[in-house]
Amino acid sequence: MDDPLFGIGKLDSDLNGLPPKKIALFSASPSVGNEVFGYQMIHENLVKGKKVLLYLNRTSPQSYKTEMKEYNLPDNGNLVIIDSYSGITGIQPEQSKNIISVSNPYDRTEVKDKIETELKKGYDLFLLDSVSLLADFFDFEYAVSVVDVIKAAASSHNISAALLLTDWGYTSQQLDMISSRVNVQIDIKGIEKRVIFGQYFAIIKCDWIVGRKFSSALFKSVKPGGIKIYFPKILVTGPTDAGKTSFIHTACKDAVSVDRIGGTIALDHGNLDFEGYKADLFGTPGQERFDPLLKLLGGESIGVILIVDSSRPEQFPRAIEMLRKTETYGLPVVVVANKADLPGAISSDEIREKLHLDMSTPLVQTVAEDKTKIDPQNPTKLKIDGVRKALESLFDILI
Amino acid sequence: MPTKSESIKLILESLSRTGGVRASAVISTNGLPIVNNIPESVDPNTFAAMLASMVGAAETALRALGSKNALDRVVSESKDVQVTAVKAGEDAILAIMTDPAVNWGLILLEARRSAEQIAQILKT
Repeated sequence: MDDPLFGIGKLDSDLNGLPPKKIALFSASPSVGNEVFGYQMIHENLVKGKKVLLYLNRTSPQSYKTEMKEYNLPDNGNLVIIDSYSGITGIQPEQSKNIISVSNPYDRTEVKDKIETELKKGYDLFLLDSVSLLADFFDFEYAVSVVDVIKAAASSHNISAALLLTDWGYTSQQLDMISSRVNVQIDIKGIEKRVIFGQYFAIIKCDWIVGRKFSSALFKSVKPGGIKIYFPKILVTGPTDAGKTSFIHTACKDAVSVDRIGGTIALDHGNLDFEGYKADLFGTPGQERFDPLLKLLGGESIGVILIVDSSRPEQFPRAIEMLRKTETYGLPVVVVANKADLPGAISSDEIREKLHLDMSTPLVQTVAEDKTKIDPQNPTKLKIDGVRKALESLFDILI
Repeated sequence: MPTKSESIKLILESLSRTGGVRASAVISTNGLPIVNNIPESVDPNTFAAMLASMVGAAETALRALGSKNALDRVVSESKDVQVTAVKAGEDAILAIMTDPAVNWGLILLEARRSAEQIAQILKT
């Protein structure tokens, strides 16, 4: 059987899932939540038919499951929860076969025993939400000793484990005590750099992947949907009438354009939600008279989709010029050769040559979904597979 | 110490207590949302993109007309909504959505004051 997964594309492709006997730590700064990483991981493994155990002291099982549902990452009824929360608040613990309540959450021995006994029954994945509450409730040394219990049980029963921790200002020695006991550490932090405000996660260490450098990734947690890798700005540019607006409207279902009689005059904008990625697409006008706006639209972009009309190679120098004017020359770029089926369209090799592209720059051909339905007043729908391929190629470079 | 976004959020919240202010947002001049205090029905990303391009276009137009000073504000009005955008430093824009029948002078004053505070926070 496959190893449990993180349920987040980037983590799974970087780490190949979480192997048995390995312990993962999600360490978050207080301004950024880490609980959605837990929901995502639990959901992913439940639907794969894994047995998942959750030790919960942050909230009640009921509201935990409600939250999971709001993210559209529901429990399928098979999640087993050790409820160490209801006992503290005095709420009557929920009685169900999948809920094991800790009768006295203040009892250091009972907490450890419950975890140990339950883990013996055989699980694929164990989650602890959260370590920091154990530390605050008892003391940090006790939280560390619980981690040791989990580590021993994981190792003797072939379980993968994940710990959620919020760093409420612990000392670095304290954090090291946890950190040195886990096999992979993922830090989740807020970023406030110039005008980019967001959240990112980064793999700080991993002891089963060697010789690989990990990159960090901006993310958003969206309801419903969960953790999505987020690219704040991807620029879609290219000469007049190449199909920029059509591309954005095909890729995003809620795109907005400022246009007059078929031509974009200020910008197009669309929220893209694509295979676990989220991105905002910004489209530029193509006509020269809007060039003063290009710099503004290009600012802060992290990737570019350059759209050209395959049947009009005379526009190609303008395409290059637009990359310069948007100040995005040198950023990761994917070239979309649109209208590849029109009479006079040149081959992709010829396009490569004329645009001076090296082989590492992806070039994707696209065509209209139905040429008989082209209305010059409205964006044309493009065939979705070309659009998907272009987006996939760009995300491949960006990740 | 509060984070930058928390500090900006506080400024927007105090702005929202000014009579007639319905919503406010701080966006980057490149069209990305920074911090916002707008109704959930409004998509902050689209709002940011559109407003930044309005401000950018207005700056370009003024310059083309020979203006030698920085842009003060962009105002758009309809019968039911009014949006005022002022620059908050070089990299950000403060946008305030108000009722049309509002004490406009007060809004401008508050907008300018808040914009200066936001510019300071972003600079640090």
